[in-house]
Amino acid sequence: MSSETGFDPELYKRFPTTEARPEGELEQLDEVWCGPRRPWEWITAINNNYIGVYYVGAAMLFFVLAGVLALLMRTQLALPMTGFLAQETYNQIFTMHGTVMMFLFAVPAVEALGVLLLPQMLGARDLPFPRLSAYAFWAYLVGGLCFFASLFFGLAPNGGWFMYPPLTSTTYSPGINADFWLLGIGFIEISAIAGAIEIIVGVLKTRAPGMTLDKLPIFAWAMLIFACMIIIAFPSIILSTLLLELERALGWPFFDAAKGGDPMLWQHLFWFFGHPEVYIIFLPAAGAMSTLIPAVAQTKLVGYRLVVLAMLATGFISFGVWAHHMFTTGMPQISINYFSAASMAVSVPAGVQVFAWIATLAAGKMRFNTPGLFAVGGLVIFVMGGLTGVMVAMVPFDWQAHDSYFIVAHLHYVLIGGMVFPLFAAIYYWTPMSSSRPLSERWGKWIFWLMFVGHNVTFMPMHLTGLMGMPRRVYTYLPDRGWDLPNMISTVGSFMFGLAVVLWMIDMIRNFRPFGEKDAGNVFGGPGLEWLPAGRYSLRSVPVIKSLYPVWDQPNLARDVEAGRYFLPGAPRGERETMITSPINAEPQYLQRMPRPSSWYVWGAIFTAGFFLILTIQAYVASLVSGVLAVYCILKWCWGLDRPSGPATVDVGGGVRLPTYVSGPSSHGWWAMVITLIVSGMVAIMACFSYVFLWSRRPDLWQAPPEIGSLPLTLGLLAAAGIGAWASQGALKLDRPRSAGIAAILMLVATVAAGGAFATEASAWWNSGLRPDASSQGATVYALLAWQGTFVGISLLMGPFVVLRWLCGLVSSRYPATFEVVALFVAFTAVQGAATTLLIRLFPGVGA
Amino acid sequence: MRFWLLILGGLLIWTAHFLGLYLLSSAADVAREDAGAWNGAGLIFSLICLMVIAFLCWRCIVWLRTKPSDETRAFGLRLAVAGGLLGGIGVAFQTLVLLAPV
Repeated sequence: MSSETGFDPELYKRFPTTEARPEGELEQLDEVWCGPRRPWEWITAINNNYIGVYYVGAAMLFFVLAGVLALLMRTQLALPMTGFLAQETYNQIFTMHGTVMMFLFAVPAVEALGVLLLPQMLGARDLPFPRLSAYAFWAYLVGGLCFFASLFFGLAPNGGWFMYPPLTSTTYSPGINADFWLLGIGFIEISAIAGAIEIIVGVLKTRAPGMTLDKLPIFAWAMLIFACMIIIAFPSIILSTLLLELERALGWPFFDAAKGGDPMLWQHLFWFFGHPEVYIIFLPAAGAMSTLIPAVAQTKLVGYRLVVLAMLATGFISFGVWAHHMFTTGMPQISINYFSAASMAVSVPAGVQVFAWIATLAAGKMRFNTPGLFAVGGLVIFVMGGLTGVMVAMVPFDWQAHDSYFIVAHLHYVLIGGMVFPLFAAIYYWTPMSSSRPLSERWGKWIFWLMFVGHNVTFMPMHLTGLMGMPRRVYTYLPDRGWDLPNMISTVGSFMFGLAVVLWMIDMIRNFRPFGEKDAGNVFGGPGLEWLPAGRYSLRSVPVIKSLYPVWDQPNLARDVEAGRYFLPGAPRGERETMITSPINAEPQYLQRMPRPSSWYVWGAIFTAGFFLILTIQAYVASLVSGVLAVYCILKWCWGLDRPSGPATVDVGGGVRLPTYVSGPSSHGWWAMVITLIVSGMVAIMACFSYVFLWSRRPDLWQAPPEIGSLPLTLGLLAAAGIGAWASQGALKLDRPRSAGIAAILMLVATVAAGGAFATEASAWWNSGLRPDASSQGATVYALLAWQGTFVGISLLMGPFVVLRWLCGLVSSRYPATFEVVALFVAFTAVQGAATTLLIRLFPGVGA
Repeated sequence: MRFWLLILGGLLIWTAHFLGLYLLSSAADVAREDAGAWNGAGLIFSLICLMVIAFLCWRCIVWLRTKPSDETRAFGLRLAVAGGLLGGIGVAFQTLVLLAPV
């Protein structure tokens, strides 16, 4: 095997080692990775074994809450002209049902599964940013619960889960209901992005040695693609919610046709997120199916490589189908045809995965245990949903079925078959690993059949009610339409489904009881590393991987791993540590020091949630205070980062020595910053699209940009910022007595230059007479400036932060990681500023 | 990065092709003139994309025949060929739209 990093693969032959491990090594490992001992430590815990379980639990709580809302809706619709729910309440409930299921259950649930399973599956002690996982979780939980509570005060959003303007403009949706959605969801998506960064870096950088890409577990592939899709898709919803909130709060007319705005812009931005979202939640579930089906059938997955390709292709093609939700909006015919073709094409990779699962089940010996039943049941339902998906991808059919109950049936078949059933299969499959106790097989089979029958009884008739003309989102209907019987059947089915969920909850509570025997072992005979004996530190030692199915193919693996005969059998520095490996060949690169629990990220999450939620009720001072406290907590958290200690290299087993500190592209922090900047860049790209799109709608309303004279000054200052940030790194690397000070001052100057450029550009536009509430041009220009201003603001926080670190002796050429990521951020701010400035100044040209 | 570009090459070209066609059709909608010429531009663009995909696949097949240095590289190359084929089919399918009467 050729090396990716210079690591000699021959060193792998030293493992498993044969020498006895030193006494007390395992006890030390246990002590270092100890669990909560005091009550509040259950809240500040960061280990994935805790945060993962909390995360899955919270996601399932929201699933149950949204399910209750569904039952309320079905009760209302059981008979014609019932008054069980008032019209306005019904509107709030169907909006909250969709929103909670999509944003607070589906995405967090699969992300939670990743946080819980990936470390064990990859052979890592934990994911590389456990505090970020904890921050993402607490922000999501606090924000999600407050968001849901809006329902009890009659303040819940009521414009449907996709919140189309002009219905959601202040004219038709006065009050703060829509604001709850816009600020709440935008904020919860930030939490999802934080989780995605953790997962991408985790999958690429914390794999067991030898776990090359061709030996990467299929679930890890799925999570990697899922997280990359979040990075590309979610910026669009963040931008769209920001724009609509700006329109509602400040009157900036992005979607107001009277001032050059266009409601179609919302649909483009929303669905650029919204349709990939379906695959974002499908892919991890499909990854779970591809992992557990081989265990259920006790044979290897048929077509591993093709399944990987299919998941990659799904990831790509899903971004080319967003406008199939907009076939009836009057888009140009040729554009509709492109999206129709892509919508049909996306069924090909989904089909490849389905055939791979069927072939695996046929090639092995299917065992009809609960995970197996949920897997097969999900497959059947998903295929049925996929077939109706091809139907609605055809434009003439879509015109007939659009906004009818046929679509409700289709989307529930896809989402429940493609995500909910696989999730239940995954819960039944992996619970013995997580709680060391399997769920009841007898109950599980009852639950499956109730859920499977309940699903079909609920949603199958909806195809008919839709084709008979019943529109979505109506709170009641007249008795003489022929819709009575199918609606009654749907309601009966929904309660069967509800009963299944209640039984499942009881079984889960029984399972997580704090007493009784807990030694399940590898109940289903799974082939992955997660089935090796493990503690809170994950595996005792990190094995060298030689197969895609290590537990099946590497004899004595469990024994040797437990005996500490592989990498990192202890805690060489007496701290929490994990091994960082290279992204393609998983060659050991360095030992990462992991953080210990503290409370800063929890407070940071609470205050961040507070900032957004208090903003919704327009208590601006309280919101500002919460925001400042959030920034303080996050800075305090960052202050403790990048504090190297101990020897420069340590023995990680078998005489292999690894460095304990790395910076630049090899380091996990650098990767996280690059991914964060991709998110920011995507928001900027979508904002630029909005600018060009709105120009194309009403070019006659656009005025000339400011005089060209101020442009060189803006660009010059941005160039100074970029060059200053780059030069500061160079100065630090010189490693001379005053390098650190010069580097810190250069960085400060760079951030001030970025601030100067922003001030110059903003004043040029203001002096040109353009106002943000005057036209769509003003709105988009000032939105782009505001986005850039946010980055400049963060840079202006980072500059003094770096200087303060220097004054405290924390900046050194030997430890440049923090400095490098700050430089990366400031340089990006300069490049983003230059690109957006050039666009708004030069397009569509002077006097357009 | 080169390894990832190779693996994802076919799908990246599909993406570029899709976005390119969408931009061309949007430009045609704004310009509101001579749809035939815009379609012609789309066809030429599609042809270029197909040629790039064909070259990518051919190059990967040649590398595969010269025995790659390790399993991971072979895995990547096979993925690149399959991705190229899939991307090529996607590009051709998408191009059919342009052949419809204007």
